[in-house]
Amino acid sequence: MNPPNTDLTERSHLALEDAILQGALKRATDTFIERRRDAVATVPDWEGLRTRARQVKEHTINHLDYYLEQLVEKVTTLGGQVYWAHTGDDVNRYIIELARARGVKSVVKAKSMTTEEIELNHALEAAGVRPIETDLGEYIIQLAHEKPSHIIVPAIHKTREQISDLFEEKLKAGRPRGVSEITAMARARLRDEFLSAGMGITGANFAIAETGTIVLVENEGNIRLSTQVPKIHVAVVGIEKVIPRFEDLSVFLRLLPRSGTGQKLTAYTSFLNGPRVEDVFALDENPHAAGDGNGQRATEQRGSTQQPHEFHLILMDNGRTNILADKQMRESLYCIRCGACLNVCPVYQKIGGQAYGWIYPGPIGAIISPQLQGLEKAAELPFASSLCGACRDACPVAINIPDLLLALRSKVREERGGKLSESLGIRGLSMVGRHPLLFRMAGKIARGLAGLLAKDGRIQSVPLSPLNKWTRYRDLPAPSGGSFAKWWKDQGADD
Amino acid sequence: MVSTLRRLGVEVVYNEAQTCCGQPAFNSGYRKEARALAEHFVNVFERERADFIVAPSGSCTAMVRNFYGELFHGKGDEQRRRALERVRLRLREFSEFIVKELKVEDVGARFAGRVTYHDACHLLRELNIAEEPRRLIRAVRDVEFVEMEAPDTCCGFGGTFSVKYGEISSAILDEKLARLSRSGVEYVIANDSSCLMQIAGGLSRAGSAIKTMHLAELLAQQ
Amino acid sequence: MTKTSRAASQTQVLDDVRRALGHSNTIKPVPLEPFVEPPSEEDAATLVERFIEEAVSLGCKVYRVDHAGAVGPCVAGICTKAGVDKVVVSGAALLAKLGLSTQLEKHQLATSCVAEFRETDKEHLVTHLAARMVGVTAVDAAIAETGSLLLTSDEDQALLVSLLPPIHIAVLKVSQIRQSLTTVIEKLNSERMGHDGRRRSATLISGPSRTSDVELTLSIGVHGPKELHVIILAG
Repeated sequence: MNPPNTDLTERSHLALEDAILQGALKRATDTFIERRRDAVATVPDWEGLRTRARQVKEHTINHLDYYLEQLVEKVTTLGGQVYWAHTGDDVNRYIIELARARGVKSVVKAKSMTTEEIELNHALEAAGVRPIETDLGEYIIQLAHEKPSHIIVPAIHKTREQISDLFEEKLKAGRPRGVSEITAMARARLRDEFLSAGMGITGANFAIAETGTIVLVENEGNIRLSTQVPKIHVAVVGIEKVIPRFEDLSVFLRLLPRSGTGQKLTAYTSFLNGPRVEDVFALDENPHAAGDGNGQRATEQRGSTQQPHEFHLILMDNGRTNILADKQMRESLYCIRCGACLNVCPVYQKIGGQAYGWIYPGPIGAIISPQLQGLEKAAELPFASSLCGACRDACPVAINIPDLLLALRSKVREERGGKLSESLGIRGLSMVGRHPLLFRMAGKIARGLAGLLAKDGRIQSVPLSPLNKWTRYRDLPAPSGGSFAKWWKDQGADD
Repeated sequence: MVSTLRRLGVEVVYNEAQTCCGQPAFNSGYRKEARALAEHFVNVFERERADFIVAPSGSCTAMVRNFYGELFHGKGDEQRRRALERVRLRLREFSEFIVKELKVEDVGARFAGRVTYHDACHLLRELNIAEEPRRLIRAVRDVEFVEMEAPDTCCGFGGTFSVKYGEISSAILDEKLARLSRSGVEYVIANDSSCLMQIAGGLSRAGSAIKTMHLAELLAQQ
Repeated sequence: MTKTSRAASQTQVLDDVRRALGHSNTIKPVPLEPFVEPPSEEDAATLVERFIEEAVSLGCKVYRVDHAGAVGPCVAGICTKAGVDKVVVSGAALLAKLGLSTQLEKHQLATSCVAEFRETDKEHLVTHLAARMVGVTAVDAAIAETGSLLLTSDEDQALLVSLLPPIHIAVLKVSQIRQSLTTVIEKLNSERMGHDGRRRSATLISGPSRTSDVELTLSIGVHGPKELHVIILAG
């Protein structure tokens, strides 16, 4: 649990000191990296797929208005209802009103970063509607009142012992011993919830403009249950999730599972095409119905009971149009939330998800959190990177994350300046760097000072200086000999 | 580096007016200051009549090759962009120059030691240079070259990141040091002074016997 | 939330999108060129082997039978092994043609069919399915590349039958196996309109339900079926 009012340095420190978390992060990231590598090897032209995926995303995002309008039209034709939400509060308000109008007491939820972004659960609880997370990892952290530490495996920071303790305390049905009993206990408890919930809420991995189809991937089956059992299905979807055509799925469905978990396909891939037809007619009489619901009577068809009676698609902005407006930062919206960048990031591998302070961790979090939350809250994140570029290599849509981090750093400096010692230092470098003689003199002075501090060829401490942050953890080499320029001059034209 | 190049028959000149490519400023978000340094760099090297400009640093080469363009993207910058192109076309990283331009892998070096190679991030991912340094190392007489686990993972330096987030940087470094110690080598070679400073700093603090060596240093051994 | 406030919200978001893109009106884009992939080999013999290999690696149990009359006994065998005596069968045409319900009754298995619930509320069907241990469905297609099964929703209630009982048995014909995901996506795309003119929902099933959420340790059978059995009928 993050203590309030901490900064990234403090939160990272806590993470680095947490031996259990360190072990869990190492195991998780090593495993996902290996599985991803094996899965990528099963695709003959992985680079070709990535290129195509990025091309599709770029095209879609650059014409987002067109594709969103097409999506909405198709979903509405299928009998779904669409709400365009400007903010997260709008989403929460819509869902609460819908729940109240239908007498919904409990809601089963699939894992959705989007709903965590807007704190939907909190809003539902405040309104007297009980939200139940059904993905096992999310269920665990919901019981523990914690935030997720990884996009794919949110409770990876907890041991099975900790989880058994948690279940014993909260579920009061005995203490499960071992992973299978934990799973079995969750299955039984949640099965009852699925069967009695009045509403299922999910996000979406993809929303197809051409057909109005919502696509969701999962391994547990909780999404299938949440979308097929309760009478109402609500999908909360960021506006950037739309892709143009159904056939584009053959590219994205080969990239997403392999990148996220190293699977060719997850256990279940759901393609949802709206609610039952005959019930769309019934909605005309309903006060919360879409304004332009079908006026015609549905023909007397006995249809599938597979689909819920109502389907509501909530398209959410919540700051995404601000990202869209910046031509360079726009590619942040290509993200398909696979989690591959987290696993390969040397910083994430050490500090885990909670240290990032918000919902989206890792390299993609370092880019979108400052943009969605605002620089006041997340200005540090873009600087907490060594810019190694491993994230860009792993990203299935080839987002140029390091470049975006650099762009954000520049933005932060422009809008908020930097620490005095740093900005003075950089300005000093810039000034001296334009005058070669000054530059060499500065170098000579620095080497001289360093020589004073050195012992046995190394410097272990540089008191009263930001360099002390280096020497706290590492030695500095003592300068040996002079500068290259001096060496060059000394050997003259003799060679 | 100079002695190796001369040994290969290259005439080397050093322009004393050069200072810094500006990467520390750019990476910390100070674009104005970075641009000032970049302008100086381009001015100095544009006037050079040499056929090639060789840099013993992947990150400096990457800065000029991949990022200077962003600093000169304004409307009044056409002349500067042309000058930059003239510099960029001739700029080479050290190992790239020897293997791709001189078409040489054996530079006549000899070094008896068990060594491994660390891929500096900018060299690997910004410049796509991975094979050239390895070929050069393998061609050194008497050398025993061993690949360590995950040589392409970051050492944790990242410029000011190493100081701003020193604890994280150090934790990342610890992973690298653990892999190094498991590799059983005596020397770790890299083609970037920053990485070497980071790794050497950690090895020294840990009291390790493993030593660092810049690729240029290794190739100069006889 | 009033109709007016919802419409206002739509306008606002769409306006924001347009403004961000620098359009004053929505412009229809030139669509991207289609992505051309090399056609995949569809050699019937290797397809089955490939499918079985992938399905087994996902944790499925696979059985091959060479005539229609062998399907029932195969299903019965699975049920006996699981200690189960009640089965629910989907309304799939294939299963009806095989006379599966009758075959199963002969093996002392109490067999219900979803067709019996046609006139009732969905809740009754769900309650019934949730109480059954074994559900049997047909499939719309299978993918050799990934060991997956495509099920679409229709009167046969395949999706719920394949989801609620802890054991799912899927019966498919060899001719239904395709090589690649791309082919099946195309098929789903073109057949999306069900024969009664409505769009259908579908699920691609790749193995039994699973999670690694606890210490990255694999656990089978979280919310969906714990066991997935696939019976491949030759011919």
